[in-house]
Amino acid sequence: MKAFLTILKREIRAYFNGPMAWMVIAGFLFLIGQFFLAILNAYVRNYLMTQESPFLKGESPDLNDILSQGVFQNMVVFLIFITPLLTMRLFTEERTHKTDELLFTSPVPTLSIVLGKFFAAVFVVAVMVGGTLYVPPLLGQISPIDMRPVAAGYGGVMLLAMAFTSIGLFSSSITESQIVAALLSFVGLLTLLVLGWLAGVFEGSALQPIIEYAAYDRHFNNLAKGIVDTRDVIYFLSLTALFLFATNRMLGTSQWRS
Amino acid sequence: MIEVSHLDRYFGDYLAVRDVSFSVAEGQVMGFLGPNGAGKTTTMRCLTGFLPPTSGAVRIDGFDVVENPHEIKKRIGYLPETPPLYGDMLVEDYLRFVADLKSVDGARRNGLVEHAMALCGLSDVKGRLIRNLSKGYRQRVGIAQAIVHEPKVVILDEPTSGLDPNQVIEVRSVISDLAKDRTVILSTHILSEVEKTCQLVTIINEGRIVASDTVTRLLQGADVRRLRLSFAKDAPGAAEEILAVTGVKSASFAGDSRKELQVETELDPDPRAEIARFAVEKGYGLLEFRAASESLESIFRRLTADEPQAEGSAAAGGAPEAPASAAEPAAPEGMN
Repeated sequence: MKAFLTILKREIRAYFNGPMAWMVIAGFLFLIGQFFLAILNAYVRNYLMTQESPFLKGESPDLNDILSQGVFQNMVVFLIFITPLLTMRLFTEERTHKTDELLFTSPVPTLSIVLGKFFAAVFVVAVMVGGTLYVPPLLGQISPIDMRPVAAGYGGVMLLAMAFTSIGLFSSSITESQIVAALLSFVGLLTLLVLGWLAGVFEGSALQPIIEYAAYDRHFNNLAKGIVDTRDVIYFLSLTALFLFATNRMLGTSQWRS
Repeated sequence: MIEVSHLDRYFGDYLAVRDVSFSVAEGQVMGFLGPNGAGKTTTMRCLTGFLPPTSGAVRIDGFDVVENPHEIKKRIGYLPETPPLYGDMLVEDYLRFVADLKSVDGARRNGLVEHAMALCGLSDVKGRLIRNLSKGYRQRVGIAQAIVHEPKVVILDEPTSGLDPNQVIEVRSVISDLAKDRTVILSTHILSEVEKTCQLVTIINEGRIVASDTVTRLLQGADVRRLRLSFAKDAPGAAEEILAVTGVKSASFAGDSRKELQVETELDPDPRAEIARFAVEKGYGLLEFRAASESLESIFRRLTADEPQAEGSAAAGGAPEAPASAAEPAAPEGMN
């Protein structure tokens, strides 16, 4: 536990000592802000049109829907690009600076190194995602908004970010090059995304439910809409645990150090 | 304190370290010598638990490195070939981080960090970023991280590489300080360093140990006494004639002149008085008569530069350029 906190503290400081975390967070918040505005505009235009139509008069757009479609879905797309950038340095840098020799000759379980680095990256993502918390109250100014689905949506984003981070961490544990690590995790995350589209192609086949389960989008969409199903939560947690376990095994074997 | 027996380490098909055995008692300093690529770093990595041995056993303070790596890691301080430094940390923060990693308890931590910094001459730079330090200071930070938790065993891989002569002397004094109450293994290219700081020396070549003994015994030779006689006149017949003295094993002239005679004798009975009488009676004009110990440099060259050629194809698995690279470091670095 002490070793975990030692690593966690150092990694968080390493993120904020360098420009990377600041740049990523600033870029993310700027883009989320832009997308939020664009989608809000579209909804307002829609709303005005419904006011003119005699059939739809009196119905207003669902504000929770704006959050789900405009904010949470976009966050996921950005995370596919951002998590590889945040995680690529985690183990590759130790290897290029030869600091791995310090870590792995210290009386510290490998798992606490893995978890320390993992939660440091998750912390950066949490700060980044936390920077968008101004959005729901802002919408609340327009008309009252149900905060429970909003909380579920944020929870979903963080669960997804944890799974993405564990994939990035694993990539950085199997190569010495930051670029290769970033590309590997990017390809991995894209594969998860594409699986969701492929599920439709296999309509009716026995593979379809398997692919649909493996892809994240159905699980995430539920949470983004405010539907909390423990099966979805378990999906994200087990994906995370799988890659953390793989990383731990990767570092525990001697092969990669030769 | 440290026992290594029949250690082998393969990298794929390449046998980097073969059948290495040695032991170091508590409080001793062992110099680990060998040409580049001989297997020094691999052996040290096996000692520290960074690399598991392919076969053979490493025991430190009674614990086996494969069965109890955690216990061993608690007891060692290790400076790898490249100091494991984080450029984005301050010297003091970095040493605190290392102390935490080595599970030093919180109450003692700051005191130990101060102590390590004082010992390594870092107190003036404790608030500086590591990436802005000169090479000499980085090396010192590297040594400080190896000793900050007061380990029983300190393993230093080329602690003086890349330092200027003044810094070498400073680092050497740090090591001598350590040696008072620690067991130390240090690898180096600088042969004079071993004579000055170590009691034991192990020479490794092409992954195999070629010599492992105390420094004094290695320098003097374990079972022969080497003597050197200087004459005023040329004495062409002296090399054969001196063999008549009981106890003389061999004699030869040093260099082209016939004035310097090298003699190897038995230790017991001691023939030195006889040799002196012989030289005077023959009337060569004996100017000087002294004990000649072989220099560590020439031992190193003899053991690491000649052997691969003698073995020739026996080391087929090894790198073909090994003899050339083996001879190279001994010459310039022995000068120091």
